[in-house]
Amino acid sequence: MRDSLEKFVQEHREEFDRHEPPGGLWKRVEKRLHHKQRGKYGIYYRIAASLFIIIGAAILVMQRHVKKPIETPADTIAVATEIKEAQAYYASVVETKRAELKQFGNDYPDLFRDFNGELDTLNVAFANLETEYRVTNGNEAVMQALMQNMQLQVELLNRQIQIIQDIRKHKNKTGGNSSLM
Amino acid sequence: MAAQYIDINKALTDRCRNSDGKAQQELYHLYAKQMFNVCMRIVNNSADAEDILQESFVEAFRLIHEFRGDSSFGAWLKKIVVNRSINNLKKRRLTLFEQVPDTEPIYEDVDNGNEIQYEVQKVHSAMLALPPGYRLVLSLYLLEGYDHAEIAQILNITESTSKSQYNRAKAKLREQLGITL
Repeated sequence: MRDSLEKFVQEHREEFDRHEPPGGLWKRVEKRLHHKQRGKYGIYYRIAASLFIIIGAAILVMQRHVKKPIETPADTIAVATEIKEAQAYYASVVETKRAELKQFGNDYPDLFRDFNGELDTLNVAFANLETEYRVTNGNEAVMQALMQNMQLQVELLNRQIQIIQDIRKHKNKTGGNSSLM
Repeated sequence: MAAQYIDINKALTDRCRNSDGKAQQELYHLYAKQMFNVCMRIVNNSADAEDILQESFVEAFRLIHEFRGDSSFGAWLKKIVVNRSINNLKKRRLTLFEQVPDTEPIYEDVDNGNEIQYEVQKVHSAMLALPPGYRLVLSLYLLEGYDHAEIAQILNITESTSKSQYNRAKAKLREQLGITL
């Protein structure tokens, strides 16, 4: 049974979309889609991009290999605790690394934004896996995929930090103002 | 009507699979406003919503081959937008829910049945003023059309938590609208 408030919202659903997206946003999307192929940051960027593709592929493979629900194992609760602990550990590592990376954010805003986008893709995959884990009553393959995802996040952050450090080194060597290409 | 709608999008998404820029732009303009509003309702911050919208479209176009057409493109895209928006809330480390076990009675919100003249603008502002956890469940249920089972899955909470949270959010909304029982 719907109450008056719910009815009202249903009847005026369209009017609740009150905000207009900013006009230039499509250009930004387009640039990002294009940008990846060109490689503004030359070799470093391409390394990052290919790394991202490899990680993406790994996630896909992991997800494909996940078997459909098996009987609930008796030790699901124990495993769940184990996951939580591992997750907390990785989350703290990811947090530290992200903070480290953030320091460079102002110097390389484009790169930083792309890095964050890559990490977010892993985060979304993680959220989906978490749901799957719950739905399948703690399927072990899903759990492994979850762990792998966390490890990939750490790995990705390590590479990102490495790339930025390399760019800085390169910049210092060539006197600051030269192009990275 | 419905079949025609799906056909139009199918042609567009097929073209996007071949990285057709025009088709991408068309899909963007079809969905940008709706998705921007989905974002805004969850994160309530236009700078963040812009970034999320941009990244969601970039992700959707990059992963378009994963879109199998078993839901509408809009529903698929919305899932990406919702997940990214929730990630944004999580990053802000907000406490969103108090979990309610499925065995506990669900908090009930009572509508006094009086005829009330609601106004879209007032309801909308009151919604945005809700605490994030309330706003999140309320908009997912009332405006995005997810049911409690789906919300439970998306947010990794119990169905009871979702229902309870929704009813509390509704009660709070009424309170903010100055409707007393």
